[in-house]
Amino acid sequence: MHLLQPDEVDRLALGVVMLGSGGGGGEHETHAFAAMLRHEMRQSGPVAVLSPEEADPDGHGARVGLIGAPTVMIEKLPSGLEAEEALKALQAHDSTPATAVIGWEVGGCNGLLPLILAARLGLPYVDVDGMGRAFPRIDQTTYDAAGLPTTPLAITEPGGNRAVLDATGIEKLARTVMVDFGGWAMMVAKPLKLADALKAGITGSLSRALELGEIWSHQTVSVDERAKASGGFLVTRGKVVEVWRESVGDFPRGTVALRRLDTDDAYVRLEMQGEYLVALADGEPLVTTPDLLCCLDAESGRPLTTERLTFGAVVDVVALPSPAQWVRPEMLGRVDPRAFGYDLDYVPFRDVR
Amino acid sequence: MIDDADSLTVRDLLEIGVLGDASLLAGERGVDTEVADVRLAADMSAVEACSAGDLVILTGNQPYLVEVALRRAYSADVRAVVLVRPSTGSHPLPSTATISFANRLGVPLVQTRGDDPLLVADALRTAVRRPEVAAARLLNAVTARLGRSRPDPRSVITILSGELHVTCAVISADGTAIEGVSPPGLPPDLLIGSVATTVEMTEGFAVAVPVETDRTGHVHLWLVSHARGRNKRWAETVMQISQVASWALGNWVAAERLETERRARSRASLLSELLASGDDVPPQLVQQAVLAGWRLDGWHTGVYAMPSQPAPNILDTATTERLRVELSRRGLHGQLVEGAEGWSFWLTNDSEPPQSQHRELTRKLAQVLGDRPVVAGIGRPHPGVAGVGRTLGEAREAAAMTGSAKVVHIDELGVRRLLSMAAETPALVEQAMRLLEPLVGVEDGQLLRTLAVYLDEESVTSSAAVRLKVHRNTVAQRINRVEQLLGVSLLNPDERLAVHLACRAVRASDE
Repeated sequence: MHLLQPDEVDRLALGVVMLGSGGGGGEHETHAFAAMLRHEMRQSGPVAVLSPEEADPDGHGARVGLIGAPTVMIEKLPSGLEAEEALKALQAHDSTPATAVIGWEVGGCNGLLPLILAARLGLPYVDVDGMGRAFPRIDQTTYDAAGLPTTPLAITEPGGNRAVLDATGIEKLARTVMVDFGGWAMMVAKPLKLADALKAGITGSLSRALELGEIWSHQTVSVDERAKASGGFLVTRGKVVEVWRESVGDFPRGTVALRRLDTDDAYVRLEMQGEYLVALADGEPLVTTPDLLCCLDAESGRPLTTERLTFGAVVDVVALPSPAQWVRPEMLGRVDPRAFGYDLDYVPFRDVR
Repeated sequence: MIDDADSLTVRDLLEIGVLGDASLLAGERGVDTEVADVRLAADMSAVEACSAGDLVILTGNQPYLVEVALRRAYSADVRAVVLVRPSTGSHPLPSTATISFANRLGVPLVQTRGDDPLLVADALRTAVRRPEVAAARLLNAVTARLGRSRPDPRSVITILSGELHVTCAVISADGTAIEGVSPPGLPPDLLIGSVATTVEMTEGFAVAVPVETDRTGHVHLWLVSHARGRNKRWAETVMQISQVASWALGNWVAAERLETERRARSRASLLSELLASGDDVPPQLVQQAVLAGWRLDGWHTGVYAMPSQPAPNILDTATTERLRVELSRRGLHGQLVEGAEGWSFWLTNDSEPPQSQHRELTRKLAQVLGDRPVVAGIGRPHPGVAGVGRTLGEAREAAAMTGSAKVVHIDELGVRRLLSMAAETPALVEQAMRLLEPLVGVEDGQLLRTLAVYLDEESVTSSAAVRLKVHRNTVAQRINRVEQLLGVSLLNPDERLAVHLACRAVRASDE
């Protein structure tokens, strides 16, 4: 058991942003939740993080996640009670008691939300989640792949609206409700039996976030070395020469051309939706989803989300390997480039430098 | 040079217009490779299925897709990648990165506008695989459009340039563009021949097709099409279709000619306009002249004939017609135009006529005029459109100065004028009379006559003797006597000239 202390929160926040692969909310958005988490911890003490072995297999873990655009939270502030209210609303329909909190999506803001809920309710957090990174769809989880239920699902927002949804196509329904709720909303799904969750989920993802947070907070170490220490590599350092965005389909899409700084007239292309999904050079895919891509501002060293990548920025593109669970033939179909509409196959993770 | 190979290169496809409004975005290096087949690729696996020599039309145009396609195209030795963008709406050009990549690979990246990639693919494939079908389609399109409109130079040029993507001009044999713009750098000797010709140009080639040919085989009007590209088959197609268009134009010439004949009077005004315009002949005048069947290029020799005395009934259509018949009977095939005061007539040669021509022309004209009270003047040969006016002007001047002769060439005019001036100056005549006074009445005027003939025969005694039918000693004796009587020496050039002039003045005044 690891007792998560307030002074670890900043490192954790950096780690979950790295796992966001450019999506799920960046530093600006997680900052608010990191403050909220520290506040809760100061009131209720450190959060107990249980490793999979320590968790009670017969217990039930509630999972919480934010749906919508994290950027909207700057205009529509959270009250901090949404997750708790959602759990209450859910329990009115489903009597499964929550004995722990588990992760849904460790990447981005959603990596911190379960800890806030755990701190408020005094429940332990079991180190497992459904993505091991960030993905745009709520059903892009290994839980869903294993056939574990997401519904009933309670959805709330700071204005007091709440809904409990039970549907087969929950992704579309939840997103419709979220739009009506004003751009973002909080979701709590039916608690999963911990034995099932640990079997299907991606275990140790919070530890991974803490590890990444530790590595990437050392600004004096070169990006190259930090990438290697994280199990990945530096794809390139480049200057953004084109950012084209369009809003067709469910998620905003974009493509970015980076001119490499090390060679003349050579480019790296990043394809993005909510997250950075594919990196190509000269028509050859270098890194493909579910492997992770992070862009760090070359000057400040801070991670840049897809929304904040702008023309003229000089960035380091870092590739990190996907959690092993995704890179299995039966799983890839949910998260490989084709799942995002790209006519490309998954390219096994390898250092292309 | 025009390529003998049948296969079309990427450049050919761009230039012959099958790609429509296409632009080459990148990969210039690879445009001269031959295209063997055309494929439509809706996804990457279709791009991968391509083989060497193919041209790929991509239905998608996301930058990453284009780049991946370019890479695969390069490794499969695909000849070009074509993007089809909808004709409506504005799309950004392919990304800088894409263009840079295509340039590095040397794979031509072409963008064309079209709503349906399938149609683009079909047109390209037909052009590549079955060029004869593509040619037939074009021919069909051109003939259908020619049939719908009443073909005149303007509409024919519009149709040809629209369907074949060529620049066209209807050019008269002297090089004036009656319609359209003559392609710059067109070899001038292209219009000298009499059959359809293809010549290479700095950019592409030009095809010249005769529109109207006269009985001598001389071409009055050409249809010239300038096309880009070097492909032999394409040159043939342009030639064939131009030929069809030239028939339509020939039809137009015939119809217009008929109309012009009906208004024969307009020839006179056309000629006077032509003469008035001098060296700077406007194209529409050239067009009217060509329609009238007048040949404007080459060397023109003009003749002006007019009544020698006021004769009210001589200048009529019937006389004009008789003159025309008699002229052509003597081999003088030229243009005869009846004017208010006389007839203008001119002959045209391909090159500058020899000096001997004008003596023969003078002789033949004298025969034609016979004993009609008509005199004629002949101008010097002059080239080109402006030459018509110049030579006719000279002929007219000569005709006004014929004096006693029937037909006068402009070159004879100087002497004749001087002499006629001499005869018309009373003071000079009086002086001459006085100079020759001693000879008047002597030996029945024989001395005076002998003196005149002797001087006319360049002071050669024997020649004068032949003309006078006397012995040359007789001539010598008579000249001796004349010298004594007049008190002059004919060996002195001044005195000889004065005496000669006096003889002419007296003779002219006698007449």
